[in-house]
Amino acid sequence: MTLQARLSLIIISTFISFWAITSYFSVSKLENNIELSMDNRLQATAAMMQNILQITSRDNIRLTGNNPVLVNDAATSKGLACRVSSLSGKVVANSHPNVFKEIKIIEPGFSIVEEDNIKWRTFTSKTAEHTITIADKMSERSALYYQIAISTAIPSALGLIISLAFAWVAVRHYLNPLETFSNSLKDRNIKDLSPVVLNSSLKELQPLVDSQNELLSRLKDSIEREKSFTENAAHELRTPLTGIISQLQVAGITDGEVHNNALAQCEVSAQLMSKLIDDLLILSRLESGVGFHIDGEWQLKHEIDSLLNEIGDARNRIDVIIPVNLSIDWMPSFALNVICRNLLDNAIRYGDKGNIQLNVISEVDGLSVLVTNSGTIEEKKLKMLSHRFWRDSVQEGTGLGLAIVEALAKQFDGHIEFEQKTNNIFSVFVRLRKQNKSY
Amino acid sequence: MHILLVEDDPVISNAICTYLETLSIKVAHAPTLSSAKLFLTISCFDVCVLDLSLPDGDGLNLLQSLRKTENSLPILILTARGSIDDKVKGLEHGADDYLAKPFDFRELVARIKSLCRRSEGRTSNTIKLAELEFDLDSQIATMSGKRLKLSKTETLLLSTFLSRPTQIITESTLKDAIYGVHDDVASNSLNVHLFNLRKKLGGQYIITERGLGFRLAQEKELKA
Repeated sequence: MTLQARLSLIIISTFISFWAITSYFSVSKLENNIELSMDNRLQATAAMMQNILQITSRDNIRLTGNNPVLVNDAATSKGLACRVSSLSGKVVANSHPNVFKEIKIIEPGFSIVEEDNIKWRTFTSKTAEHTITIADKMSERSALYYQIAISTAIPSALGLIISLAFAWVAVRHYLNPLETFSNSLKDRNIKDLSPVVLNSSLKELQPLVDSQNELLSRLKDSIEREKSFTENAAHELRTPLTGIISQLQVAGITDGEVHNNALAQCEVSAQLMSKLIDDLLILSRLESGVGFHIDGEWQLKHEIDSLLNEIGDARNRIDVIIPVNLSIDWMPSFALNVICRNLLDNAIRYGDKGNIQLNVISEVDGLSVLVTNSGTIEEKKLKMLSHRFWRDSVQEGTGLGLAIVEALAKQFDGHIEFEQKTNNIFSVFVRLRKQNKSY
Repeated sequence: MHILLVEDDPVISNAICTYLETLSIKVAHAPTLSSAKLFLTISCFDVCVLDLSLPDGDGLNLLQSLRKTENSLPILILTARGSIDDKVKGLEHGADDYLAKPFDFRELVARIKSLCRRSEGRTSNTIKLAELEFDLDSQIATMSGKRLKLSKTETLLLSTFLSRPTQIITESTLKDAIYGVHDDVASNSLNVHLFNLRKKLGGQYIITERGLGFRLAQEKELKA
């Protein structure tokens, strides 16, 4: 059920219930009041008759002899009926001669009597000489009650219908933006990530539209980033693959030194491809949030020593400054190894031939890595350094090294900074912070 | 045939240079846009094989600047960007052909030859001039049906002349075509090869234009 239908139903049922309850109480009260008024009328009429009889001469009444006086001979079946009788029960005067022929005695006070299937409400009072009975038909009372009830109910019912119509129109009007928003989402193509445009003055809906548009925008960025990454990855993988295939073709038609050179070149491309795949896997793992497993405490010195051994001859150019006997248990050795390896690799490959300094600093809340080397990088290129697949020279390396370092730093609530000093010194600073979560 | 290869990957460029040179196609390799521009100012090429992702810019920029200066050098884009959009973009920027990596050398060579053929207005890979016939595929020259025994350098010289049948070719262009842009060549070695070629073809086929260079004789000059 739609919100509009549900809201309309709630409003309609509330209105009708309220109207029904108030009508019930007012109608029942009306019935009591009519009964009371009519009874008062009977009582007042009886009192009036009593007074009339007191001031009317006794002889006049006696003149009638055995025949009762027809006080209201022309009386119809409507209106009050009045009967005056002697204390012995003899009818002295009667407004309706055909009424109460059978009923001779009616007890004083109010009572209901029935004659010829007609119910009467009576009031009987006694004086020293007479019994006065005033009666009216119950059916007339009911007719009066229904007449008043209907004349009261019709305007209320009309008011109710008009109110319900207004309520329905109002609900429809004010929920229209919501329906438009809902339809625009429902009718939207699954690939359409453009912002939702809603021309509505409904302020309450605006945050929802804004958040929806922000979500769409983030989704679009994410998909574009993913697409761009995939395209770049495919492009980067094609290059070493082409190198391998083309060198194999050359090897197929040549011999001797040229043939051997072609095979050696194949190996270069294969190694580049392998490194590229490794880097892509690390980056993908970092971005998917899978994280790394920490297999206990490890020694910083041991890790740096093994890294330097893998670097080969270039290690002679590297000055290492690290804290003595520093054990680390909050990050995997693999992460620090990758960070230091990529930074040193870049310094060796792209820096000048001078010394390189690797400085690992123990901080209260983590660790900092600072790699400094001789060399100059243009200011405008500094912010490109950690962009994926960005290179500053002829095709060399995977273009992912610093992007991986940045992704790792972010995993540890840290960051990466590049600084080009005026004295031909370039440095990269990486900050890593301890975390409560386990990797 | 003299090719300008603009490719930053050393392994791929090495393979292309080696393969094409086995087919007696001379290749000048430029790893960057700036070096490609330099080559284009100092030498003449039959075809340019152009990579797009270069360290100092996009290969399309070079393509655009060449077409702006109305340089009609046939250009084949050889790139890892293989989507339809990339191909359309490259061709719309003025490229004559597009080949995505990885590629097969047979296809690359066929496309290069096709570009040469189209730019020279030929319909086949056999060039005829009076009694002389030269098959670009087999690199075999015949005179009145008899095969000429030409050395590799003489074959390169002949194909260079035949690919520019109406032009006066400078000495430096001939040197670039047979030795490559990078090689330093002794000043008289070209003359030795020209002398030998003239001797095998017959003196009337290659004409010296004093102070300008050399040209191939026209058909009517040969008949006369």
